[in-house]
Amino acid sequence: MFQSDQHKPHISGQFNNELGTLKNDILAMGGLVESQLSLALNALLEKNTEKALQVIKRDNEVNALELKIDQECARILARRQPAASDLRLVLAVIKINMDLERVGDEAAKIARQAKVIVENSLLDSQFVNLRLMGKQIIDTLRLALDALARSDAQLALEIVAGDSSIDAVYAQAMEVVVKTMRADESIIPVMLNELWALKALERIGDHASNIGEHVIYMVSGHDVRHRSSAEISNQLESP
Amino acid sequence: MTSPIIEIADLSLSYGADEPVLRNVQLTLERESVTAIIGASGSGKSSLLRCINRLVELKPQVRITGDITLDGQSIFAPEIDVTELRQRIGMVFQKPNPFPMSIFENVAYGLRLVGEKSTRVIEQRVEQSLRLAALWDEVKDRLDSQAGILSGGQQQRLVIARAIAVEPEVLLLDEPASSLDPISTLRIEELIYELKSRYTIVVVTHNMQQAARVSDWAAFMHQGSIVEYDNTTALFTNPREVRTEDYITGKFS
Repeated sequence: MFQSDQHKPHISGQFNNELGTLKNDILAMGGLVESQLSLALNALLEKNTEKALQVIKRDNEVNALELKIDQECARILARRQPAASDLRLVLAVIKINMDLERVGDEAAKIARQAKVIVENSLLDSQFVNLRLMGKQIIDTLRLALDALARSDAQLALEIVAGDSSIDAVYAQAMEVVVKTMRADESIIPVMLNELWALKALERIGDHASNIGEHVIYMVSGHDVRHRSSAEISNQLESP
Repeated sequence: MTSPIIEIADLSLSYGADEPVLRNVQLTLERESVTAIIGASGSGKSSLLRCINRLVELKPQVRITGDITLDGQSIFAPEIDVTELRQRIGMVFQKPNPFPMSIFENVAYGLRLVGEKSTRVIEQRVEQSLRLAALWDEVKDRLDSQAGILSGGQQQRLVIARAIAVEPEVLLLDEPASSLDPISTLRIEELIYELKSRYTIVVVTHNMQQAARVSDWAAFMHQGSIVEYDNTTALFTNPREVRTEDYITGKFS
């Protein structure tokens, strides 16, 4: 449940229930996708095919939940004509749902690379950069989901602001990958896999940042997309 | 649809030599659910509602063909007692119409009419009905006051309490909230939602948002015919008929 739920209920108890279900489902979607990402990274870092297969298989669940949440949103829009904070909640859930589903796709991609790596016995990389960046991305995604669960615009803003540091880590990691490839051509196939996985992580960072923006919109009503974090800060402070 | 309570078969209605008001209406109403009938003024939705409890027959020169069954039995069968039928199928109108008597007597009225003598039973049933109608807390300390002092929204809930006091199976609501402000309207809608676990409810409304909010099933009527009948989510997100689409999206057709 969202923390903002401590506030006033609607006259329509059924509408309350529908919004409650929607909130629970989007948080469940977040939890599912987060566990997919952790498992996919473990599959890669531990070179564990079983875990990789599990991620690929469970992507269906992510897709099914995406459809269910979309249907709930359409139903609420058509039947309840939500206004103000209710309207922003439904619009934010529609967008967050889309971002989360893409995170799920990226996790499945990482799992597929893990599988290829194990199957081709390309086992000599320690994926140092991937390990570092992976942890950072999981933490960021978790924070974005916390911000959603707690309707915490301040935390959401920190995530949006932190995206540039993720981009910097990504650029650094790319440099290392390129350098390693130059030094030893035989390692290129492994490094390509690492590179793709890094790219997937970077995309997930972008999605987490988008989720932060949607949470800010949901809580404050300000659409902060395409703005610098300094501008967003100012906007949130002004009434 | 799993358990129909009312089946309307090939029902047509006309007054004298005029154009028919209803044309070959087919409709199956699901037990313990809310069915909304929407449509423009003059589309026949109120007439259809008034056929279900045979109130329409009070108009002169009325001609009905086809059939309506309640629990499998024709409501037009000769052995049917119309008063008893209207006890099983209660009705609430657009304008709250409390009787010029006390709040208590308004709810007790139907019970006395059907011959209930026990004061204890009547008191119990009045309280229970007012509770079900979500009005008890607001009136329990002034049951002897005239019903006329209540607000419009309260009066409408009082009338609903009066209708459910005689324990009907079906409740017909004809524009039950159209004379109420938005908050009272939401209260009535919430009440409708609460009541459907015990009664089958048919609500006629030209407020289609209201139909979208309260109903499980929705029928769109146009010129005396049912154009489309479906579960409410389907009808409001993806209607099959262009005429339904035009009506619910507010386009000319």
